[in-house]
Amino acid sequence: MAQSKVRKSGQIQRVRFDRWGYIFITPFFLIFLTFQLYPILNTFYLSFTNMKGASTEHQIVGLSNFGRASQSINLTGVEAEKAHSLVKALADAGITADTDAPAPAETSTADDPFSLGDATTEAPTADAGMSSGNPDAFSLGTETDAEAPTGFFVKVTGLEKDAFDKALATLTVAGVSSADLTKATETIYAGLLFDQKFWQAFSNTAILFFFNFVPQLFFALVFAVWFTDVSLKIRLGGFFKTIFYLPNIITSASVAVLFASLFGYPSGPINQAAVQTLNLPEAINFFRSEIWTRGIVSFIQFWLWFGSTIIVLTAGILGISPALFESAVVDGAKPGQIFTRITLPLLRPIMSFTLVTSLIGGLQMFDIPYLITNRRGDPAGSITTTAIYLYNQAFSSANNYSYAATISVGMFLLILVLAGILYTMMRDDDAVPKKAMK
Amino acid sequence: MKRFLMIALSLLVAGGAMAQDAKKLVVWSFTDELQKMMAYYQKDNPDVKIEFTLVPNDVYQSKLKPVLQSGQGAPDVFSLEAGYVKGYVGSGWMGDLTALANGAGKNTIQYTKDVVTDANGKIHGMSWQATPGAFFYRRSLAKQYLGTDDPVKVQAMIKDLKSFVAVADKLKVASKGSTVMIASTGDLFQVFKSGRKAPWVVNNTLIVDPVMTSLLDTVKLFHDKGYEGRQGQWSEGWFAGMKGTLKDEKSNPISVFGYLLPTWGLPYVLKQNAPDTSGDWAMVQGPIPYFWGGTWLTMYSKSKMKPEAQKLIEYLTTNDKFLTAWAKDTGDFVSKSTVVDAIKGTYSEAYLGGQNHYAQFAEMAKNVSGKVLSGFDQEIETIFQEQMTAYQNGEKDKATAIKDFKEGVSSQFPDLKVN
Repeated sequence: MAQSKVRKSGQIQRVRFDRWGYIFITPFFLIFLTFQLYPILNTFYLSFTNMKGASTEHQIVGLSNFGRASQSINLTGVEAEKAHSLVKALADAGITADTDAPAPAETSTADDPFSLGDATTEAPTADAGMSSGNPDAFSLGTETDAEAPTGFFVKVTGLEKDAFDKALATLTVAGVSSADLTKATETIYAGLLFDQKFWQAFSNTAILFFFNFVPQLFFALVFAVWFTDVSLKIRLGGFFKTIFYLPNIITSASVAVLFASLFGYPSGPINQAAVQTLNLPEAINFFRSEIWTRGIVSFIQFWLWFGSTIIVLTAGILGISPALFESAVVDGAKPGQIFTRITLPLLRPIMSFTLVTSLIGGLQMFDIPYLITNRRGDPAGSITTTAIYLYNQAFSSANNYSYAATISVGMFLLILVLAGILYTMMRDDDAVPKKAMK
Repeated sequence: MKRFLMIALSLLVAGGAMAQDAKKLVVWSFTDELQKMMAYYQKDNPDVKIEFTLVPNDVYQSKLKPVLQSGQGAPDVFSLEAGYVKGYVGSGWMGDLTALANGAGKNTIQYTKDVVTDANGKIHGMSWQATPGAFFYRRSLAKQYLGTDDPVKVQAMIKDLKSFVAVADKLKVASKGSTVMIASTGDLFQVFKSGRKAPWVVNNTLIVDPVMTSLLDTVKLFHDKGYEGRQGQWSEGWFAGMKGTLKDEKSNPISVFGYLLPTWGLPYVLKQNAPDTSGDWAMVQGPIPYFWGGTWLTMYSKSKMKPEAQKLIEYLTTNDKFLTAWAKDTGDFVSKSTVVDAIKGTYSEAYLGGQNHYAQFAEMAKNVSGKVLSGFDQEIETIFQEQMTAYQNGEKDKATAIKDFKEGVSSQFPDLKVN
C-alpha cells in the first residue's frame, strides 16, 4: 500500500500505512466468517442430511434430497378383509402398508347419536367430549350424495430395491395376481429435481423478475441518458433522481400493505376509481387474478428499484469521456447514433454489473410477494417465489430444514449458472478491444 | 491509551449484560394482552422483575422453537395460541403444571385443561380464558328488518344453519342488497371448523372432515347470493363494517348485520375498533355452537425460575381477585367457573345495550371441546382458506379445490399421510 511523509514536530517521518489496511478490513472478515460463511457452509451440509423438526438429530442422506427414485405399490378395489390380511402379511415381512379399509372393530355409523336426519332440531349439547358433532347441522340439504365406495386400497410407498422385492414376494404369496401387481407398481421420483412446486416457484420467480427488470432497464437507461445529456439541459435533475430513488428506502412491509390496500376488493381506491370514474361494470378482484397479482408485484419491484438503476447507469455514463460525445456531435452524429455507437458500448461494464447484480437480487425476491397476499404466494401459488417456498419449508411447524437447505443449494446453482452465462455474454466483447489495444 | 479504554469499555458492557440475567422472569407472548394482565400482578408483587417480549404471531413459532430447543435466551413463561398449542404438548418444553391444574386450578373449565394434557395425563399449561363463539348483531338493523332486537327472539330466528340462511335472504330482499348478513365468508370458517368430529391430523394422517366440505358449499352459497360483504377477514373493510362505514365500490353504504366472533371478540375486536357503535350490539349463540382460539400459559421445562414462573401462572389463571377484576375491566370470559358463577348474575355490558352476555357465555362454554385442535392447524388452515376462496369465487370446482388442498398440505408436511 501507500507510504506517506508526515511532518511531526520538525521531523520528517515515514509512516507505513500498509498494515492499517488489513486491520480495517479484519472486522468485516471476522463478521463475514462467523455470520455469513459458516451459515452458508452449514446450509450446504444440511442439504445432504435429513434434519427436520425441532431436534437437531440428523443422518447424512447424500444426494437423496436432490433426487431419488423409490417404488410404490397401490392395490385398489380390495375388499376390507383382504386388505387387512395383506397389511398384516406385509407387516410380518417388516413393511408398513396403509389402507383405508375400516378397522374390523369399528361399529357402523348407523347408531351415531349425532346423525340426526331432521335438520331443524337443535344441535345436541349432551356429550361432554364433542362440540356439536352433528354433521347435519352443517348441511344445507342441497348437496348430492357421495359416490358409493368401490373397494379399498392397500398402499406401500418409499420402497428401496430390497424392500420392494420382499413386498412383491409377500403379496404374491398372499394371493395377489402378478397382473394386478404390475398394474399397481409405479416408480415414484422425489427430491428437488422432480419437485413440481420448486420448478413452478422458479418459473414464477423468473416471470416476476423478467417483467420487473426489462421495463426497469429500459426506463432507467432512457432517463440516465436524458439526465446526462448536456444538450438537453434538463433542470432539477437531482430532484427527479431523488424522487425516483425514494421508494427504495420505504420498508417492504409498508409497501406491501400500501399496495394491498390500494388494490383491495371490492372497495379499495383503485376499484372505486375504476367503477365510478371509468365506469367499469364491476370491481376487479385483483388479488384473485394471477395476471394482475403478478403484474402488481412486478410493478412494485420496478417502482422500488429503477431509481437505483438510474443512479448506477448515470454513474456509468458520466464515466465516459465527454470528449467522445463532443467529437461525435462535431462529426454530425444524431442522438440515436450517439446512443447506440458510443454510449451503449462504453456502458458495457456497468451494464454487466447491473444485469448480474439485479439477476442475483431479483431471483431471491421474497418480501413483497410474501407480504402482499397470504404469505404463501397465492392466488394459486402464482407469486410463490423460490425464497417463499424455501421459507415456508423451513419456518413453519414442519421445520423441513434439510429440504429448505436443498432448495437453497438448488437456487445457488441456478443463479450461479445464469449469472455466469450473463457475465460471459457481456464480457467477450470487452476482451477483444482490450487485447487489440495491447 | 485508546486501546485500553476500548477494552475496558467492552468488558464493562459484557459484565453489565451478564448481571442483567439474574432474577428476572422472562415472559414471551404474541400480543400485548399478557403485558396488561401482568400489570395487575406487578401491583400485587412489586418486587418481582418481569421482562416481557412481544413477538408477532406470524413469526412467533419460528422465534420460539429455536430458543426452546437450545435453551439460550429462552423465556421462563410463554403463551401458546390455539392454532399451534397442541404441537407443543408432547414436545417436552412445556413444564409440568399438573399440581397447579388439579390444585388451585380445580375450578378451571375442563376443556382448557384437556387441550394441554399429554398422553400420560400430565397437564402442561393453564388458560385464564375460555373462548366459546357467538354471533354479535346490530340491534338497530334487527329492529328494522326483523322487527325485534331481543336476543332470545333473534336467536330463535337463526337457531340453525338453514334459518341463518333464510334470515340472510330476508335481509337482502328487504334492504335491496344494502344490508348483508356477515361482512366476510371468512367469519364462517371458525364455526364449521369447531364442528368437526376429527382434527386435521390423526395418527399422522390428514383428515378432511365432511363438515369442511359443507363449509365449501356454504361459503359458495353466501358468495353467489350476495349474503356477505365480500371483505377479507381482518381487512379494512371488515372493520369498517363494524363501525358502520363500509361502502362498496360504487360508494353505496353497506350495512353488516352481524359478526361471528368469540368471547375475546368483544373487548379486542368490537370495542377497540367500533367504540362509537356502543350500545347498538347484542349477542346470541348463533346457528351452531363453536369456539375460536384461546391462549395458554406455560412455563419452560428447563427454566431456572420455576417457582416464580408457576406463581405467575397461578396468579394469572386462578387468582379470584385478578380474574374478577379482569373480567369486569375487559369483558373477557375467564376460565374459572367459580368466578364466572359469581359475576354472571349481575353482569351488564353497556356495549351490548346492557345485555348480560356473561351468563350466556357461561352456558355456551359447556359445549366446547378442545379435541379438534392439532399442532398443524395454523398452516393447514391457511392452505384450506386459499382453496375455499378459490372455490367460492368460482375459480375451480369442489373436487379440484380439495385435491389442491391435499397437494398443498402434502408439500408443506411431506411426512403426513395424505390420501
